[in-house]
Amino acid sequence: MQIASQRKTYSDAAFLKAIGLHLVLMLIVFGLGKLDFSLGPSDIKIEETIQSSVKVDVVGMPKLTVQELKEFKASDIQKGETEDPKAMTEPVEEVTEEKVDLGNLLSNLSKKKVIKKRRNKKKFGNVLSQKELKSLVLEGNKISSGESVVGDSLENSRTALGQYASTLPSHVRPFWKLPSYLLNKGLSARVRVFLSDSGKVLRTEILKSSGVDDFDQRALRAIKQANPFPAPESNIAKLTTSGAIVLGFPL
Amino acid sequence: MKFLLSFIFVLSLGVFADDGKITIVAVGDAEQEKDGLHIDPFKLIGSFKNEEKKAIKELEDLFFSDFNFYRHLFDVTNSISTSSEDLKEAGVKYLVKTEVSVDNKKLIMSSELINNETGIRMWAKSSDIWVNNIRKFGHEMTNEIYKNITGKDSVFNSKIVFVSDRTSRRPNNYKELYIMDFDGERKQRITYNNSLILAPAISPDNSNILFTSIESRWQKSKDGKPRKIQNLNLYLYDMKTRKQKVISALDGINSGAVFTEDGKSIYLTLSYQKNADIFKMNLATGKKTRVTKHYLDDVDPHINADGTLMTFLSGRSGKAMIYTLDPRGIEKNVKRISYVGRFNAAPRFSPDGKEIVFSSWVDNRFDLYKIGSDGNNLVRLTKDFGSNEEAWFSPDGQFIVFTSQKVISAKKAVQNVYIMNREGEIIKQLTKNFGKVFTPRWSKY
Repeated sequence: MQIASQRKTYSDAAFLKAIGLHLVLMLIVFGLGKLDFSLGPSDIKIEETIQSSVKVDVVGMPKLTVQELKEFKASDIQKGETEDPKAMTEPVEEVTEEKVDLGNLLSNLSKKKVIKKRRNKKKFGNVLSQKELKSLVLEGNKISSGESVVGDSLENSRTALGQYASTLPSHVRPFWKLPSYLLNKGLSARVRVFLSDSGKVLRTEILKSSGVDDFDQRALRAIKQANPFPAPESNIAKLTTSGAIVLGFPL
Repeated sequence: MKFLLSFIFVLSLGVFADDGKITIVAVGDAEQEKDGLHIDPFKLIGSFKNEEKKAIKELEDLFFSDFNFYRHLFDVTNSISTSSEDLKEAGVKYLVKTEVSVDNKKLIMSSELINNETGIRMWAKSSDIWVNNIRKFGHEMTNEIYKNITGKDSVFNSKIVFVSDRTSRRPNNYKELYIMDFDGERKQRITYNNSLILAPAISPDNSNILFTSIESRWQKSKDGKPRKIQNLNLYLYDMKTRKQKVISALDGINSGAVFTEDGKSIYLTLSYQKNADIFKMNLATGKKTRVTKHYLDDVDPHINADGTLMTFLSGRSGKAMIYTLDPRGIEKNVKRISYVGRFNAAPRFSPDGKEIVFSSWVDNRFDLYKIGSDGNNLVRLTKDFGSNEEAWFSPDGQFIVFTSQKVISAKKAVQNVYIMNREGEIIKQLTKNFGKVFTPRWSKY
C-alpha cells in the first residue's frame, strides 16, 4: 500500500515535471512565434533566396542587342514541355530542411540545418523549349531563365513556393523604378507580402528597411501597382497568405 | 490530460514549421525613373534686333537639345508655357524658367531651376550672354542646371576630336584632325599637314592631342639601294600654341598612344624591335619602359583612370583578342578577356574602368560590344546599323561615340560619327557630308 502510494507520488511528480517541461517548451515555441504565429523580422528563418536570372553561356558573339534583350520579356518565354526532355539535364533541387521534432526544435536554437539534395523528376516550368534553345545556341547565345542563390544556376532548388515566388520579379519589376538620386547607392529593402489565394495583396510589411523612407515607399508602391499578383496554386495558398514570400529590392 | 498537452504541442510545432520559413525573392535592380523636365519658352523683356532674336532662339533650342541627350534620365518638354499645377499633373519635376532682357546694349539672361513638386528654387543665375560664343555660353548654363539636378557634370562642355578625309583630292589621300562640340556643332580643323593622320588622343587637361602620321622616308635596303618606306610617327599637338612636335619616330610603328591620367606619360605601340609591343613613355624625358613582351603583336592600349589596368589587343592566341594586364610591370597579370569573335578591335575602358567597349567582325562587318573588365557580361550594342567601329566612352560614361559606315552603292560608302547611350540607343548623328570620318575621341570635361 505504501509502495503503491510512493509509486503514485513518483508518477504524479513525473507527470507534473512532464507538464512543466511541455509548458516551458510551449512557451518557448509561442514566445518565438509571438503567440499569434506571425513571426517578427528577427525570428524568421530564410528557407531560400531566389534571384531570377537569365543564364547566358557565351558560345559566340551575342546575336541580340541590349535593346532587343530589354524587350525580351520573361513572359515571352514559352512554358511547356521540351521536345526531347532526355536531352535536357534534370535540375538538381537543393532543399534546406529543418526536422520537425523535439530534437530539432532544440537544435534549431543553434541554427543547425540539414541539407540534402534530390532529383526533381518534374517537368520544367517557365523554361525555353528545346527548339527555342537550339535556335538561340545557333544564334550565339544559350539562354535559359532560372533562379538561384547567386543568379547563375538553373540547377538549384525550386520548391512549389519557390517556383511561384520566382515568377513574381518579372511581375513587379516593371513598376520598380527609382529616381537618379536613389540609384546606385547600395540601398536594399525587403518587404514581406501576404497574398490571398487569388493573388491579391492582403497586406505588406517592411521586413528590412533600407534606411531611406523614400526608397522603402517606392518599393511598397511597386508592389501596390503590381497588385494583383498571379494566383498561387492551392497547395501553397496557405503559405502565401501567411506571408511566406519576401520581395527583396533589389535583393 | 497527457494526450491533450501532446496534441497542443505537436500542433504548435506544425504551425511554426509552416510559418517559420520564408522565401526571399530578388526583384532585381530598379530602372531609372525618368524625371519630367520642362523648359519654359524664354520670356523676352524689351525690344530686340532680329539677329538677337535669332541668337536667343538658338539658345532656347540648345537648352532643349542638350537635355534631350539625356533622354534616358529626363522626359524633356518645351512646347508651351503652362501653369506649375498643370505641369505637376503632367509629372514635371523640374522646371527651367528663363528671361532675356536688354541692358545697355547687353543681353542679360536670367535662368532659374525650380523643383516643381516642392516649389523650391534649386538654382538661379543672371549673366551677360556671350553673343559671339552663344553655344559655349548655352552649354555652360545647361551644365550648371544638369549639375544642380544630378550632382554631376554633364557632357555639355565636352569636345570630340576626330579624323576626316574631306580634304583628300586624288591622287593625294589626306586625313586631317578636326574638333567639334559633343553635339556635332562648331567643327574646326586642327591640322594642315597634308598627310595621313590616325588615332588621336586628348590629354586629360584637354591641352594636347597625340596623333600618328603616316610618313614616307628613305631607307637603305639589304642590297644597299635606297628604298622609300612608310613609317608611322607619333606627334604631340599643343592646342594653345597650335604647334606640333615629333614624340617618337623610331623605325616602324609609333602609334596608338594614350595619355596616363596625370598627362605626364603615354602608353604607345612600338615596333622598332620588329614585332609590335606596348611601352610606357615619359613625355618630359622620353624614357621608355616596356609593358608587353610577346613574340606576337600587342597593340592599341587603353588605360583605366587609376592606371592599374590596361586593356589591349593581342594576336597571342592566334586571333586578335582583347586582354588586360597590370601596366606597372612587364607582362604582369595578363588576362584574356574575349574568347569569341573572329576579329576584335579597339578596346576602350568606361570612365569607371568597369567596362570595355570594342568592335568585333561579325557577318562581314564590325559591330560594337561591351564586356566587363573581368571578362563577364558580354553584350551587343549595335546591329543592322552598318559597320560600326572605334567606340569611345563619354567622360561621364553615359554615352559612346563611334563611327558607322553605310554602303550606298557598289562604289560608294559613307562613314559618319554617331552617339549612342551606354545601352546602344542611338542618340544623334554628329557628322554628315564631312568626308569619311574616323577615330572619334571624347575629351574630358
